[in-house]
Amino acid sequence: MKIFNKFILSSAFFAGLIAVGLTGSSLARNKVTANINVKLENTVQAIEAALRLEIVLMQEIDTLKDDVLIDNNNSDIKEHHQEFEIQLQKLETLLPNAKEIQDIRRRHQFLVRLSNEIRKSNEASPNVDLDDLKQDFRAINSFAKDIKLFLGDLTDRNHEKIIIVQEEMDKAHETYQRVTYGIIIAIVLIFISQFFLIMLPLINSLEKLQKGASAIATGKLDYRLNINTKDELEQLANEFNRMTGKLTESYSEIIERSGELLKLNRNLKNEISDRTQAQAELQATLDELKNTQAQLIQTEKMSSLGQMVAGVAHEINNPVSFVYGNINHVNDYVTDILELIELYQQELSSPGEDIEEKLEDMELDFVKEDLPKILASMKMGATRIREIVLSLRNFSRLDEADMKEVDIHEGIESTLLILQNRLKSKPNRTGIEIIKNYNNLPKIECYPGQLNQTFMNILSNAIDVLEEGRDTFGMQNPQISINTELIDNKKIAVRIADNGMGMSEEVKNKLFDPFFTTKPVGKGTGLGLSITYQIIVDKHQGKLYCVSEPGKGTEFIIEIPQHQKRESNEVMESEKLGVMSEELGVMS
Amino acid sequence: MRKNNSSLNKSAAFLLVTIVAFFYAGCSNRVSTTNSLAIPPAVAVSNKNISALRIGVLPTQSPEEQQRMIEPLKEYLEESLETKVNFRVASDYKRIVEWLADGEIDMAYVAGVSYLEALEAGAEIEPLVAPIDKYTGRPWYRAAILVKADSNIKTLHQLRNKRFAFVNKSSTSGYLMPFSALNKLGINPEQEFEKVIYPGTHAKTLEALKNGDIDAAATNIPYYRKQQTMGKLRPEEFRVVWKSPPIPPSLIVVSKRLPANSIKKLKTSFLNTPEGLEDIFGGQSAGYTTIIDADYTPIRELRAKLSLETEKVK
Repeated sequence: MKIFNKFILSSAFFAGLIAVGLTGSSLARNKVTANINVKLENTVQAIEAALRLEIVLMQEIDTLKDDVLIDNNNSDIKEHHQEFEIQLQKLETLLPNAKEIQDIRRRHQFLVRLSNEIRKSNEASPNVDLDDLKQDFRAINSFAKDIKLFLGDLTDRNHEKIIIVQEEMDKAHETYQRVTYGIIIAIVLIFISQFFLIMLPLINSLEKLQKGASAIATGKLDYRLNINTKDELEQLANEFNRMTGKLTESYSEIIERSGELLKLNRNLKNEISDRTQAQAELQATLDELKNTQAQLIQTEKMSSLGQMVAGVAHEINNPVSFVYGNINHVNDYVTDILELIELYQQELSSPGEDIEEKLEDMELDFVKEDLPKILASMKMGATRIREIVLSLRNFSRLDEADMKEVDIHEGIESTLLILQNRLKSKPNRTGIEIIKNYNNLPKIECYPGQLNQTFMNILSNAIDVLEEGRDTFGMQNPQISINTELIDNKKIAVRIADNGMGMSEEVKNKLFDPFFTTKPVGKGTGLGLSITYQIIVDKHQGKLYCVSEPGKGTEFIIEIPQHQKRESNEVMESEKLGVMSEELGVMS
Repeated sequence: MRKNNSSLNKSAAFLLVTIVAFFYAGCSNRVSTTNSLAIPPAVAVSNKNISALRIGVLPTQSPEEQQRMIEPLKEYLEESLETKVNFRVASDYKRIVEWLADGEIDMAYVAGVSYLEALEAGAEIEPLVAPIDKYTGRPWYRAAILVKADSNIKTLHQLRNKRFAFVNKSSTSGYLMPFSALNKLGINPEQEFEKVIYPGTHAKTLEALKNGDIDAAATNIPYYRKQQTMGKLRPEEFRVVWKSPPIPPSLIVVSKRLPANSIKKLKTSFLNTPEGLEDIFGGQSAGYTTIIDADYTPIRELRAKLSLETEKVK
């Protein structure tokens, strides 16, 4: 049943019960009370009548006794008899069912008869025997006693009746009270039953609903309410269950879809990461390729350049050796010839005209004077050629592919020597000043050729910059400062700084990228610093910094550990010959 | 959830308190009303009757006749008392007195003298009712001395040297009253009468007179009248020579050991006896009436006087 109906019905029942109970009990009580009151009044009247009757009886008896004693036949005994009868009738009307009335009447008849007899005997013989008199008295007393006994019974019964009536009244009152209590209990019971039959299931259902809601809220979508109260709440529960069902369907759909989405997303992510990886791989491959290309170019260059340089050096070395080796002999010979000429002049003081003319023409004195100088100069030139060749060989180090302990300063010096030509001042340009600030360095374990190449790259770049500055901006005091120092007895640092134009941040960021160059096409490959970086960082576990600001020059800082770790050696195999400065190439 | 629970508990507690309050109010109300309407302890009228009422009866008439008279009385008493009634017919007056003294019977029909004798024998009894004489309308009766109608005896003095019958020595009317009357006149029956017999019952006494065995007989008026009414005696056959002053009647005594209300009930039953129920004493009664011990004072005095004189004579 619906809660509304339940409430309405139970409340109506409740109200009806109270109304019926209260009205009924009150009516019944009033009726009973009225009834009882009537009875009570009746009984009281009866008692009064009985008392009156007794009084009449007493008077009658007194009169009768007087009659017996004084033979008064004119007494009003008859009136008394009548009076008694009247009172008795009254009593009879009050108590129509009292059997005592008939008994009293019968008893009274004895009395009446006795009084008649007495009157008769009085009339017959006025002088009565004393014994007879006494007996008459006794008879009167006896009859009176009989009547009084019945009257007493009557009165007692009426008293009892009063008590009974009172008891009835009490009982009625008690019944009324019981009914009242019954109604109160019924009210309470109805309250309780309303509570237990309506409220409690309601509360339970609400609790269930709440539980269900919270269960749904926590995601238990398969939760179903089980409410069978056949009321609004059941409808609500059914709606709830339907809702939950729908929700479950939708949710599962969402789950399915989101699963699909997740799968898609995962696939996408995978794809992205694959692509990223591929890209990275591609990039790596590209970088590698670039490196390889650079290396290849370098290798190619170097193989050809190196071979050429080595060949040129070698080829030059031989003729220079001829020149250099024979100059001393030439000098000896020339000295000898000149001394011979001296002797000739001393012995032939006047030579022929032809000779004189020749002498004149030849300026023999000048030749004598100049020839040793020429020879000395030639010797110096040859020496220098030898040195250059030595430097070239030293630079290419074709014979030194392995890690060696070398003096860094030596490498720097040989590099500077190679670059000498570019540093010197020429008639149309000022030279570049090299400021060396060498500290005491231990021998460094390294690939000397590669390290020389880095010096070459950095220095030639510096020279390029300074030349550009000098030529373009009329720079007056181009300088390159080279500092070396030992740091913590572990590594050495070489700082090569120029006072050129410096470079922008943008350029600086791409500085070590392969094929990045600021030089005009055909002048640079963009590999120099890239290779330098590779050599320092990769092959020597060193560090290469660049400190530069536009207009404030550039400083490259090379840091190389004093001792190399062994494993890195093998990597260098391929560059045994290869790594060579492009500048060198350009230069040669 | 938690909050809900607590509120639920709260409401439940409230309900409980309300119920308790209701009940408490109801109880207190009840107590107070009961107090105000306190019923006085009911006057308990015990309806408990004696298991069986034992009634002793004097042998006044012949056994068959007595039985005939007892039967309707028994029925009436059993009906009105709602208890069983056993009549025991004694062989003679003495037996009744003995029974009363021994408490073997609860009630008895006795003559006035027997009542006094029983009291003297220590019986715990009290007078209950006595029959009212149909003719006099009074509870008392008179003793009488009868002679045959044709007898020449006119006065008591003429009884000297005649044959005389008393009923028996316990009979009030049949012995005590006539004897005392004779005594008063200075007549000593035992010495001055030719013959004195004691037939035992009024019937036998009158039988003896009728048969002419005796010249005069002592009896009482009610019995004599009854015999006439019943047609056993013809009125013209006898003549009353002497009538005694009124004497207290034979009576019904009841044991004091019976409960007071039972005694009262008995008395009421007898007072209510319907007319026509025969007097078991043989008289013609118009009913019963209340009687008290004081009513027997004359007999008591008479007996005392007689016994004194008897002693004197002896």
